[in-house]
Amino acid sequence: MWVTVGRSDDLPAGTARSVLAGRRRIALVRTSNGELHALSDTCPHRGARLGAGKVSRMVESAGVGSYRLGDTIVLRCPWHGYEFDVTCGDSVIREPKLHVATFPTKEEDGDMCVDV
Amino acid sequence: MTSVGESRRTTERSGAAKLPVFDCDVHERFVSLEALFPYLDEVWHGYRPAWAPGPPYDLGPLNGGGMRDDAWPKDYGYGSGMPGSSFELFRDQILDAYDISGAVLTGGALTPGNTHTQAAYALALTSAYNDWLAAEWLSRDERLLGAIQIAYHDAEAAAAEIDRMAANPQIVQVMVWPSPQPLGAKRLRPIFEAAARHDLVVAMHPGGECFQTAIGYPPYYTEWHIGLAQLFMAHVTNLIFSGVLDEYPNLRILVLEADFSWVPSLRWRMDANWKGLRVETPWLQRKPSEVMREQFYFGTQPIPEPDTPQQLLDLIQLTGEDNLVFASDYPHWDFDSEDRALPVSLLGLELRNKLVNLNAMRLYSNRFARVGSSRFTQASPHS
Repeated sequence: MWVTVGRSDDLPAGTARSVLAGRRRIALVRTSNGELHALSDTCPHRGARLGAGKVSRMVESAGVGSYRLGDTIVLRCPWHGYEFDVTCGDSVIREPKLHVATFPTKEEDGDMCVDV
Repeated sequence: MTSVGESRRTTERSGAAKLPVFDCDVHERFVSLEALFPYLDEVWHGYRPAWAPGPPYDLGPLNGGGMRDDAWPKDYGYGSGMPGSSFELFRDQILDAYDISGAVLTGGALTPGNTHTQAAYALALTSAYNDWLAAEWLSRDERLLGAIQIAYHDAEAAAAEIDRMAANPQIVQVMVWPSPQPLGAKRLRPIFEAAARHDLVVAMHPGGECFQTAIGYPPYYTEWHIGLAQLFMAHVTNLIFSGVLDEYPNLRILVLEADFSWVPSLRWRMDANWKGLRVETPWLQRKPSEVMREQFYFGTQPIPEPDTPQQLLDLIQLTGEDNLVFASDYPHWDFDSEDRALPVSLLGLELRNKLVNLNAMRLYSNRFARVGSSRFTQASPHS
C-alpha cells in the first residue's frame, strides 16, 4: 500500500527523518545524490529512532591506520552508532540479527511515497 | 554450556586416555648475573642493571620471598641460588613429579625488555640470556622448550634476535613483559612480524619494573597482584584494535599469569563497542571476540577460585574451553598443580585433556610442524 509521507522538498540531501506511514514508523533517508530510501525507524539494538541518525558514506580502510569513504551509504543510529546500509537495511558489520526492514519508495508530484 | 554431569558422561562415553601435562609457564633463572658472562660481550661485564627487577614491595609476607617455600635449592643440596636456578630440583619438582610431556621456560629473572636500561645493554643481556638458556637448560632435557627474551627498545634488533634464536627447534615462543606502552604500536610491528615469520607464539607475562595497575603501584603487594589483569586487559584490547592480529593471522598470543575470569566480560565489551564505533577502527574485519577466540590463549594460572565448582566450569565455558592452557608458574608462591587446579573429578577427562595438553598442542602446532618436532604432533597446524 503506497502512503504519502511528505513533500520531497522537506527532506534535504544527506539527511534522514522519522515519519509515519499509516501506523508504521519509517526512517526516510535522502542520499547526497538525491535518492530516497525508507527503512524501519526502530534500531534493532536498543530501539532508537533511526530517522534521527546521520547519513554518510561508509568509512572503509585499506589497512591499519587507513581511512577512506566508500560508496555504501549508511544510516548511523543516533544512540550507539550502529550503521545500516540504506539500500538493504543490513548492518555493515554483517550481523544478521541487526537487520532493519526496507520499503520501496517513489516520488510523484513533489510527494514522497512509501510502500508499506 | 556443559554441566559437570554432562562433562563426566562425555568422558565415560569417549573412554579417553589421560594425556600427559604440557606446562606453558615455568620459570628458570640464573644463580647470579655472572652466569651470563660466558655469553655476554666483555664490554658489558662492568655494567650492572640499574633497573629494579620487580614491583617495589617488601616480599617478607610472602612465602619464600615470593617463591614456593619448598623450592629453594639449598634445602636439597642443589646450591645456593634462588628457586628455579637448579635444573635438578626443577626436574624433581616438575618434570618428574608430574607426568610432564613438555614445559615452556619463560624466564622472568631478567626482563630488560621493559626497563629503562640503555638499549644496547638491554639487547646484549637478552642475547646472552637466550644463549645461556639454550646451553644451560634446553640442552639438558628434551621436555624443555624455550622462549626468546627480547628488548623492545629497538624493535628491529629484537626481531633480529628472534630470527637468530628461531633456529633452535626447542624455541617455541617470544616473551613480552608488558609495560604501559601499547604493544600494538606501529614501531613494535617487527617483533610480531618476526614471531609470525617463525610460527612462534608471543607470550605476555607480568614482570619487570613497569608492570603497574591502573593506579600505579598500590600500597600492598596483594593489591598489585590482584590488579595484574588490568594491564593485560588493556594490552589485549590494544593488540586487537590496533590490527596486529589481522595483519598476522597465523600469530597466536598467549596471556600468562593473568587469571582469566575477566576474559568473557572483556570479549563482550569489545564486541559491543566495536559494533557502534566501527568507524574508528575500520580495518578490523572480524569481531574482536572472533579475533580473541581464534588467536588468543590464556594460561589457567592463577586458577580462579569462585564460590562453587560449577562456577569454575561455567567460567571455563564462557572463556572458551579451547582457549585455555595449563600453566603452573613454578616456582612462584602461587603455583598451581595440575591435579588440584584442574582435577579430573571436576572437569571430566575430556575437558581436562584439552586444558592440560590438547589446547597447547594446537597453540604450538605450527611451530612444532615447522621444526619437525616428533614429540608433539597431536594437533594439526592452524591456518
